[in-house]
Amino acid sequence: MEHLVQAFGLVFEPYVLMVIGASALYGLFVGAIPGLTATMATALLVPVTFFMPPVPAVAAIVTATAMAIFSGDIPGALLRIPGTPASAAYCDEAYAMTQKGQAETVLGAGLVFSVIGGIFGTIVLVTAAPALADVALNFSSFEYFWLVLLGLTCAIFIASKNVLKAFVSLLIGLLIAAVGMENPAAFPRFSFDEPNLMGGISLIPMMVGLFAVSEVLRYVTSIERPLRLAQEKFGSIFKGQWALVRQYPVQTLRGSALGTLIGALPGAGADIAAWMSYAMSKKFSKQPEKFGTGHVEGVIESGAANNSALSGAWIPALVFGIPGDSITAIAIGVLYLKNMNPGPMIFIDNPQNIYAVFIVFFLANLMMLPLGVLAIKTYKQVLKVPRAVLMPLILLFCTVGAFAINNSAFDIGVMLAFGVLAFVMEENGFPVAPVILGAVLGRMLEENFVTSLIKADGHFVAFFNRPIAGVLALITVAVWISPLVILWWRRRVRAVTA
Amino acid sequence: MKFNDSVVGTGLIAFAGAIFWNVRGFPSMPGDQVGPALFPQLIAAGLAICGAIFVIQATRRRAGTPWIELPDWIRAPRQVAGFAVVTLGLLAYCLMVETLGFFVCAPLLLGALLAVLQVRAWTVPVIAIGASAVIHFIFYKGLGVPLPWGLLQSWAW
Repeated sequence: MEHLVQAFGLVFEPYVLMVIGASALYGLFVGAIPGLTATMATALLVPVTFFMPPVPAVAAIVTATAMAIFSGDIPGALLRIPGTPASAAYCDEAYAMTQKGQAETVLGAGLVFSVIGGIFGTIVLVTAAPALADVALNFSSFEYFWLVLLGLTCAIFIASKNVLKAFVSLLIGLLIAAVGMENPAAFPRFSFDEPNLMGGISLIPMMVGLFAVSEVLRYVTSIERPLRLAQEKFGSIFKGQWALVRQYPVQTLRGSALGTLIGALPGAGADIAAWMSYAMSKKFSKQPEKFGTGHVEGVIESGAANNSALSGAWIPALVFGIPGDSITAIAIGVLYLKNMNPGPMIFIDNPQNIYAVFIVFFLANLMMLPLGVLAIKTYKQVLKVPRAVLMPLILLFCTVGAFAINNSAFDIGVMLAFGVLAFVMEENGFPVAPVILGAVLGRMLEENFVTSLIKADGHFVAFFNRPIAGVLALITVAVWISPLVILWWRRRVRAVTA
Repeated sequence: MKFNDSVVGTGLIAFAGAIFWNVRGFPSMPGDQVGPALFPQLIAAGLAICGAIFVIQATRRRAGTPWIELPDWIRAPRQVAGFAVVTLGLLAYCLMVETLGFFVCAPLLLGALLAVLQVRAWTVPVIAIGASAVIHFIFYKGLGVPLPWGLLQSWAW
C-alpha cells in the first residue's frame, strides 16, 4: 500500500505528467502518418528517454505506443493506408465503412474499443505480472534457459509466415548478441580488435537503424502518391458507440483476451494480434458474409486486440526480461540502461516503479479518449505536414540520437549498417522482429545454457529434471515438431480422401 | 534488391563457414566442456542448415528467377539519389563529424536529402540550418550531449 502511494507520487509529478502529455501527442502524430510505425516511434524516443529517470522514460514509451496503435486506424479509415502495421488487418473494412458514410462510427469504434482493449490488457498485466513474478523467484538457470528458448521458438513458429526466414533472422540476432566480451568466458568474439566492439554492439543504435533508418530508406526509394482524404469534416465521434458496446460484448472480450495472450507471446505483437482477431471475428460471426463490405464487428474485435496486445507484451518483459514484441524489446534495452533490470526481483526491489508503470498504463488509455477525438478532428492538418521534410528531420534525429548513447560516431555507423540490413531483409521477405529478439535475448540464452551445463556436469538429463523446466522443455519441443505433425496429418488426410 | 533463394542459401552457407573459421582458435575453458566457441558454432550450424534448405528448395522448384532482381526504383534517378544520400551521406557524416563538426555535417546531410526529395529550393537552406540548430539546442544544451564542434571549435558555446 505504501508502495502504491509512492507510485502515485512518482507519476503525478509535473515533470512526469508533462512527459506523458508530450509523448501522447507525439504518439498520436507518428501513428497517424502513414509510413511511421509505433515501433519507430519507440526507437526515436529512446535517445531522449536515455536522459530521463526510469519512470518518465518508461511512461513515455508506454504512452506513445498506446496512442500510435490507435491513431494508426485514422489513415486506415480515411486514406485506405494503415498508419501502423497493427491497423492493416481491418484497413479495407474501415475504409469501406467511410465510403458508406460511416466514418464517425468506424473512427469512434477504433477509439472506444482501443481504450477498452488497452484497459483490459492492463488489468491482466497488473494481476498476472506480480503473481508470475512470485513463481519466477524460484526459477533457476534451467527454467530460464527453457523459457528463453520457448520465447524464441514462439517468435519464429507462431509469429511469422515463413518459419525458415524467421529462423535465419533469429540466428542473425543471436550472432549479434555474441559480439564482444560479454560472454561467460569473457573472451572477445567477432570484435576484430575494434575497441568499440569489445563491449558488444550497442543495442540502441542498432534498434534505431533497424526500425527508423530502414523506414527512411523505404520512403526515399518509394514513389509517393498524393494522399487524398475520403472525408475531412466529422460529426460526433462517440454517437452510437454505447450501442456498439452493448451489441458486441462477446467480440470485445474475445478480442481483448486474444490480444493480451498474443501480445504476451514473445515475438508476436499488436499487428499479429489484429490479424488473428479479425480472422477469429469473421469465423465466429453470425454474419460472416458482411465482412469486407464495411461491417463494424471485425473492426471492434481486432481494434480491441491490438491495443490489449501492447499491455500483454509487457507481462513477460517485466517478469522474465523476455520481450513480448519489438516495442518491449526496445523498452527492455532502456530498462537495462537505467539499471532497472527486468526480472522477478524488480517486483521486490522496486515495487513502486512497477506500480508507477501500471498507473501510467491506465492513465495513457484514459487520456486516449479526449486526445483521440482531437487527433481525428485535426487529421486534415496533420496530413499537411510534408513527409519530404519530416523524413530528413527524422534521419538527423536518429543520427544524433545514436551518437548520444555513447557519444561515439562509431554508433552512427552501427545504425547505418543495421538500417541497410533491415531494408534488404524486408525486401527479401525476412522479418526484422526476430533479429531484435535474438539480439536482446542471446546473452541470456547463452549464459543460462552454460550455467546449466556446468551445474549439470555434462548430464543433459538435468535440463528436464526440475518440474517447471521439464514442462517448459516439453512445450518447446512440441512447438518445434508441430509443423511436422501438421504436414504428416495433411498427407494422411489427403491419402484417405484420394 | 531481391536475391534468389539459391543465392541466399549459398550466401548463408558461406557466412556459416566464415564463422566456423573465425572461432577455430577460440580457447577452451579449463575444466569445462563448453568454451566461448560453442554458441557461435551452434549459430553457424543453424545458418548452414537453413542455407542448405534454401538451396534444396530452389533447385526443386527449378524456377527461372534471376540470381539478383533489381528493384523497380533502381530506374528512377530521384529514388536512387535518395538511397545514395541516406547511405553514403550517413557514412560520410559518421566518418567526418568529429573533424568537421556537427554544424557543418548536419546541415549538409539535411540539405542534400531535402533537395533530393524536391522540397522547395528556397526553403532547403532555411530548414537545413534551422532544424540543425534546433536539434543541436535540444541535445547539446538540453540533454548535455557533447556534439562535436570540429572546425568551429573556437565558436563553441
